[in-house]
Amino acid sequence: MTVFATYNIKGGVGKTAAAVNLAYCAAQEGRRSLVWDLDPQGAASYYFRVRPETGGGKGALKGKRELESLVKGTDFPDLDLLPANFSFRNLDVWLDDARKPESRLGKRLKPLSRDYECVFLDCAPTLSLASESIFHAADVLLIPLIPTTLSLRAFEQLQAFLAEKGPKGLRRLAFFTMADRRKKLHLDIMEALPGERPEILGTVIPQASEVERMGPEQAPVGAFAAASKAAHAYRELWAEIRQRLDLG
Amino acid sequence: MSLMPPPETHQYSFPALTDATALLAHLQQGRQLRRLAPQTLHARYLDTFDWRLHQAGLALLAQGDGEHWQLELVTPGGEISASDRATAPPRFARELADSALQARLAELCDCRILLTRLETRVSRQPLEVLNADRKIVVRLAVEAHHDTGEDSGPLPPGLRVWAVRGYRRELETVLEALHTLGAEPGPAMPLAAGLAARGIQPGDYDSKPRVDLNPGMRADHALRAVLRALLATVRANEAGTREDIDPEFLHDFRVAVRRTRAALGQCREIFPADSLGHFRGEFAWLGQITGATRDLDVYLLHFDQLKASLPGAMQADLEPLREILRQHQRKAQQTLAALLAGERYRRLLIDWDGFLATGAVDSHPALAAEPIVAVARERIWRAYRRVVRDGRALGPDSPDEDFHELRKRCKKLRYLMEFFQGLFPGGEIKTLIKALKGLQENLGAHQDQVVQADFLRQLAGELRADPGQLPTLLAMGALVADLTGQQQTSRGAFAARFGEFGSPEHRDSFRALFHPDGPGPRP
Repeated sequence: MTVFATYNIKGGVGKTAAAVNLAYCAAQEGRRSLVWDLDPQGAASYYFRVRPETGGGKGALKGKRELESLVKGTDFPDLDLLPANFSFRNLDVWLDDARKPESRLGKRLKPLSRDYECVFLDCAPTLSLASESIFHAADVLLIPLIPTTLSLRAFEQLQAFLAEKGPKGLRRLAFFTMADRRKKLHLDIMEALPGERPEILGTVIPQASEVERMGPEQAPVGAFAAASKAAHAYRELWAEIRQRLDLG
Repeated sequence: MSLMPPPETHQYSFPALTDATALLAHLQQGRQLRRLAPQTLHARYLDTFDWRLHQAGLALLAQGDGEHWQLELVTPGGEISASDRATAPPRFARELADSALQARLAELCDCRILLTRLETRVSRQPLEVLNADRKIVVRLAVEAHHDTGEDSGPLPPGLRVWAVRGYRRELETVLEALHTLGAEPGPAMPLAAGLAARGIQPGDYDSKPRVDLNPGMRADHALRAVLRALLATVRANEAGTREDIDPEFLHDFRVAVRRTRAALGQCREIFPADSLGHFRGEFAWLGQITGATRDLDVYLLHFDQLKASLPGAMQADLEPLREILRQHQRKAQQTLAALLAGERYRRLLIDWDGFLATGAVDSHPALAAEPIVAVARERIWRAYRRVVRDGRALGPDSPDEDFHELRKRCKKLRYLMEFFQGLFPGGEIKTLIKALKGLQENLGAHQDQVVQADFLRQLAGELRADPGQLPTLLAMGALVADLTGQQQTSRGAFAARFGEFGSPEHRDSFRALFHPDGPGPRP
């Protein structure tokens, strides 16, 4: 089981879209995949037409209730969802009380390893105890980047944080999202950065109306616009990630 | 690549309903249903000639579009106990890729071919049940079946239900609705109606036909009933034996012939003596002409096991032997098939059938009207005494032939006990048959080892001239040594097995059940 976490300190960078679409790509290849919606806003759950749960989340984190009992099958083969849970709003407070908070999430994920080949954690955009726990649980951090100055600044901050406090062995892969090739700034950044930063992938997710349509369609892009540029870009991105990680 | 078992599924049949459209209409009431594009598929119901899956309470269904097939082992309760995908419905369990389904089929069917018992064309209408958020909470498929071989009119529809994880309540609502519609859990393919339309009764073949006898029945009537059932078994296996569909046809054919010979041996003074000699001779001939093919079948069935008994480096050298065995088997099989298509065999079956119908009733041999239980008791007792006498005379150094003779005596005793099983208390006779079986396994293994080693020696003579076969010859030599060692082991184990069979409890039971004078001092 490989645990991916889509993460960025900054919000609105296409983090949830990446988790949902990459999980869809993995599942389409027959890899049993799970999306865990850890963001109390529940956007990933919404994309799968599943309402956030109102209870049971705390028990699941504490180990009183098996995570498996909260899993919902999505409308797509080999793709399941752990829906958002309102009690995740208090994740930080609760982790603060727990012993060894940073290893808590990873421990709870372990029993799922016989069921799933890929797990995608969709995380809230904060830098907190919760994100530290996520860094420990994940094997790979997938970092969506909008090619703007502010977004890069947030990326630098994250890198600095991980260098100091991040767990060893956590792979980091970043990629550009919401890229607009008509904007000179976007183009400049996308051209300059990958050369300096080997962890930045070559595939770019374009700013596309299909990604926005995930809201009204409530489905991954590949499910309603398989031939679109955006769907193609996510498939390419998944292929590049697989290749980088030697996932076969 | 999927690591998880397939999602929970349920299958239903609707014996009371013949119209899939009506079922669809019912389902649509008060439910948000999405219809997907209809599919046309083929469905096959597979089982062995002797209904091994049916006997185990299972049905193997294959459903596909010609290129991709879904195989499902379904319980009477409509649960799928194992499933897998394949590019074609399997003919043998060994053709499938490793999976839980393959393991279960191999365990149950062994070397038996999977025959298509029913074949239907399926119009499948897939459906999705949606909740208020238009999320799929249950998947369904309504199936209309038409027998491709019989013009029997429409068959009852079937239904498959797939659970979606995390939507248990919604699933239960759907299952409840199906129940009120008259759904019966079971294979979605309408097996009962389809087989009935083809005039097939599942389980209609048993290699050991049960003949209902009662203790007071005339001996000639009882033996005739037994012999008729055996003739039916010979006939049932004739085509499969001639075409060599799988090795079990010949096996069952031979067993029925041997049983016939054993029963014929008991017919003196029950049937008129003048015809008996002829039939005994002819059935002995039938036993003899089927022997070579069976020996080679056994050899091929054991081949992997024999190969594995050699040192690793030598195992590959033995492989050419498999092809040589196959060639010999094909030749023996051709000879056998020609004889079974020939006049002597045809004549035997006609004459024998005629004799059983009429020839056995005209004269009045001494024991013909005796109650069968008295005759059975006396004959089983005599056969048992012979096994005990001959078995006691055997030692570790006795000739192979003597072991083989004892084996034949054991078979005869076993057959007699099985023919007349219904005349004696069930539990006790079963225990004795089981004890005898233990002894027979030991003697059977010994005999197979002797036959196989002899065959290898004989074959070595043929191969000697070809220098390219040297590695194979060496491997065969190692195998002969191994088989000889195994023979010694079998001989070493004989005394213990024979001792178990002849234990004081068993002796008492044999005496109590079969001694013509009833229970008495131990023999």
